[in-house]
Amino acid sequence: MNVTQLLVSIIDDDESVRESLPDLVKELGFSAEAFSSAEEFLASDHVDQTRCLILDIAMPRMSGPELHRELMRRGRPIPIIFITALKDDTVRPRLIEQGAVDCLFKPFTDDALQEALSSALRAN
Amino acid sequence: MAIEIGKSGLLDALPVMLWTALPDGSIDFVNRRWTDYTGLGLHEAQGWDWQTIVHPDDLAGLVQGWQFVLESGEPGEVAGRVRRSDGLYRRFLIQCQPMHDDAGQINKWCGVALDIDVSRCQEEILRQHEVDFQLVAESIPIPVVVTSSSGEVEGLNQPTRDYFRKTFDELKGWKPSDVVHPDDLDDTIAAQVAAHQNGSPYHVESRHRRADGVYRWYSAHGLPLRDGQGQVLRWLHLLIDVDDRKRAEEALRTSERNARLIVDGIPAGVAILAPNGEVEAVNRPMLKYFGRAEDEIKQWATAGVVHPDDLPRFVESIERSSTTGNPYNTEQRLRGADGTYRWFQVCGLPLRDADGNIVRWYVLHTDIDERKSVEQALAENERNLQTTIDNIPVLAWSARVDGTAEFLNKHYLDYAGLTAEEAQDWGWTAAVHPEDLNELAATWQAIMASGKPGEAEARLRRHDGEYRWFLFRVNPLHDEHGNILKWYGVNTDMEDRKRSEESFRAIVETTPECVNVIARDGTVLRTNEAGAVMAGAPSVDAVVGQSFFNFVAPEHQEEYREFHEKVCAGEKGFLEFDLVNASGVRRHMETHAAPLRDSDGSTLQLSVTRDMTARALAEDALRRSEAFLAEGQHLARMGNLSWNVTSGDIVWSEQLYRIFEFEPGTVVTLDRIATRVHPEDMPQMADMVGRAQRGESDFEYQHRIVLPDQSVKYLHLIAHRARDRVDEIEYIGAVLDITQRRVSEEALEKLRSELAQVTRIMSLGALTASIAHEVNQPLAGIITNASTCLRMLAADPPNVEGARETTRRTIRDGKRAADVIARLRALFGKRAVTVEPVDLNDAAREVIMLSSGDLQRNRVMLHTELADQLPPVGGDRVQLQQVIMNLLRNAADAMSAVNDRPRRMLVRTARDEDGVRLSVRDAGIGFGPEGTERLFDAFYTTKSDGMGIGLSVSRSIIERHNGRLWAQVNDGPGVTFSFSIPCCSGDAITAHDAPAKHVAANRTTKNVAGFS
Repeated sequence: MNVTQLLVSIIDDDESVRESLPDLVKELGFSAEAFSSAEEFLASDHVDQTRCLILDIAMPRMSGPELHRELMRRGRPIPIIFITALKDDTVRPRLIEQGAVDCLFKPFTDDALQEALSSALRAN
Repeated sequence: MAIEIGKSGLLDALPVMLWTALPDGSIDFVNRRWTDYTGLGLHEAQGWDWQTIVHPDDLAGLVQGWQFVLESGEPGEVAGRVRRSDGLYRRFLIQCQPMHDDAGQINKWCGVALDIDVSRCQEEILRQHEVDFQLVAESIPIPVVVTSSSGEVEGLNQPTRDYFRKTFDELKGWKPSDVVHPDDLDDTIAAQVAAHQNGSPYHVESRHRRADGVYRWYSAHGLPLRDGQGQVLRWLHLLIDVDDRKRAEEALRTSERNARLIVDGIPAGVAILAPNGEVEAVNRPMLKYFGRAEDEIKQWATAGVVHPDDLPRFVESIERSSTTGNPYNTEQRLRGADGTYRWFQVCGLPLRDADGNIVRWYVLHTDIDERKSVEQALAENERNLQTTIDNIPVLAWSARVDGTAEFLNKHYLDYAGLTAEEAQDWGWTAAVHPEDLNELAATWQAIMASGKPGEAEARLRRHDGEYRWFLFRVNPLHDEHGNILKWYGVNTDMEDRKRSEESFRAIVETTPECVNVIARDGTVLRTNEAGAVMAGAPSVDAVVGQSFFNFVAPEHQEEYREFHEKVCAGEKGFLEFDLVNASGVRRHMETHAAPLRDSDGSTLQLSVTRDMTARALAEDALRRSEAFLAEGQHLARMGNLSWNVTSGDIVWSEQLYRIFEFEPGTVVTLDRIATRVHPEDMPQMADMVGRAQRGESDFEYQHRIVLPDQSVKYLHLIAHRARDRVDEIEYIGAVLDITQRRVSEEALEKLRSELAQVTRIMSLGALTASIAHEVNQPLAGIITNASTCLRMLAADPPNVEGARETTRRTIRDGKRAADVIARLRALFGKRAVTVEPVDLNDAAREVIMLSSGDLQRNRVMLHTELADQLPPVGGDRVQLQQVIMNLLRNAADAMSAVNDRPRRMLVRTARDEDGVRLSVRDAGIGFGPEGTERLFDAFYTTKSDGMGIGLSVSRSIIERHNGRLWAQVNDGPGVTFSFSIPCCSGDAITAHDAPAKHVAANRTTKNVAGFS
């Protein structure tokens, strides 16, 4: 395994996303780890290595934006791509303003994801 | 003296027939004049032989008269016709005068026969004109005076001189006034003057004064003596003494006059009747009473003086008495001058002569009218008395001294149903109530022992068995020594009084006002419960006997005592005072008092005393509550009204005038109200008036009024028909000024509808988002997997295994997406129809109730025609009500723009083939011809702001109930929407799954739309 590969962590409460998205991210040349909740991610030892977070907005307990603020609080400004199944046009600008790299509405294409990841890593 | 004169032969020369007679009456001398006249010599006339020349008719009288004179021994006259020698009879007055001897005995009679056939006398005088009148005169035994033609006295005889006791010379110059009585002077002078003028004889009766001053009556005859040529030479005046006759006549006249005066003076009618009953005379009182002329009274039988009813009886009495000669005594009414009839007793007494023949009837009329009236009244009284005693509405009786009954009046006997015999003695006690008998008997004994009037109360059994209370009153009757003879009693029915007394007592006992009877010294004699309470005493008995003054507050004692004195002195009065009762509680009292006469004659105070404390408080409370009410009405902007529809009278509270901005107190009429009502709301007012006139029990309206300044007020009227008036329709109502509420409500409503719209949109968005979220998740997986798969296959070498894996996941996510849809369907399909029996009328009423505010705001006039005895339908009550609500809203909305006609809505239910139909008819704008087709499509609407969801949902609900929903255009304006649902059929209620599933399968799309 190429250790130089950048780690992209995926956090979503939806299982099909956790199953499918890591494979696509890997196909795009990144290393990928999936977590079912923000708490699980924070408890893991991958936080420091994670170069980009693909984060679901609506999750039970800690939501995506809350995790975002927690990381900021901890001084871990990880570039974040939010994903959501709720199409709300008002959400995206607000999240970007708060520091998110992008916000993708499910279902999104692989190209959109690649572009967003590129942006994230550039910001890195 | 005559005899001496006779001897002289002069007697023969006297121009008068003269004779003398012996004391026995036999003639002993006749003068020549006598023999010349009669043609008889002395011997033929001597003794009693002269009778042959006396007219046979006059003889008896003359002889009798002559004998009468002889017997009397006094001068006298007789008259009769005496035959002249040629056979002619002439009437003579023969005056006879006795002559007395020295002893005073009659020794002779002298008579003069005066020819009283005047013509003969004149002849005689004429023939004898040569006669020496002085001589003649001297020879006549009566005063004779001869005067010249001019009236100068030429001669007078001895009797004249004797009479006047004067000499010839003294008498020569006499005047009638010297000798004639002043009263007769005029007549005498008049007769003489007339005689001298006419030369005719005169005859006057006059009184001449004798020498001793006594006047005697004389018949004065004056005869003219003429010569051959008929010239009056002298007058011969003869004075024939008629004093006795005159006096007798006078006496008779006086006596007659006196008799007449007496008769006239009798204060009763007197009549004198002829034997045949004819009225001869009546006295003055009778004339006065009848007020008629005597002649009329004589015709009494036909003059109408006797009362027609009495006339036959009266006539019969008189006729019978005329026949029998018995006195009569009748009573009848006679009509007086004033036209009224009075009763008279008429007594007729016959006057009989010596032979017993009735000469006259004396009749006396006595006025007995008063006696008659009294008698009649008395008779009437007596008649009435028995009737009265028997019929007076009391039971009257009398008892003997021993207490036994003697008499009971008819009323008593009738009342008790006893006969007089049965009631006698102690029999009457059978009617006394057994419970009262002992006491009554005791009281009766006590009264009898006291000998004074007394009374008792007891019940007496009526003939029909009912007992009634009676007051027995009894009085003793005393004789002149004060001993009791009898007892008289009267029993008065006092049942009603007793009852009213009882009810009065009950009233007095239960009245919340304190009733007292207080003696003059202040002792409470009687009081009622309220009195005991007022006094703070445990019972009435605890108060009786106490001094009332003790209860009066000290500072009012004096005033109260003064008041009490006044009342006991007989005045009515009113006083307010404070009372301090036994518990020390002070109360303000008001007392009305009147004097009450006690049985012992003393005066007590009867007072009704009222506790003013509570009233004062209550008055305060009332004033406060009135003020509260007025203030409350003012604050609530609410006015009250009463409206008598029958009479048209409308009474408003002050606040209502204020709301309508009418001058308070002015007369309110419907027309006047109409001037204020908003033109658009006039139909509602008309509708309301119509309802009121039909007498509907309650109604409620919201309408607007426009005030003079063009501002608009919203009013809410609630009226309720007063139930206590059957014949009249009268409503009591309240009018609320809801303008403020309405304005805020409208603002709120606007806000709400805006909000609802937002919410509707929001919820739709949320749902959409939710659905999108659920679907997007698996979609995201699918797309991600597919992208990965493509990338894996595009790699060199292609990662087939990875591609296979991602494809497998794609398929799985596809299934997941389908599961999401299925889950959604399950979620929305969860609300299955709950089937239960539903009364569509009830359901509709509930909805109407919920919507009424909404409808009224929209000024919709809702009418209902709900059919009786509708069978229940099977269905979900809530869903059906949503449909009805939806139809009502649609109908109201369809009329919101209608201002040129009433916004009338009719909800009607009816039986329909195998189900029940409900229809809602509006008068709205309707829809175009293509509208009907698309009406029930989701999202089709004629409303600019509507979502068009309602009807489509309604239809789906109705169809799920196996019913149908349809619309029809009305003949007039507007549309009628109807639905019909099958009746609920027993078992079907439980088998709800089948139709629910069926509907769910077929109407998915609309279902979803319906819940958007």
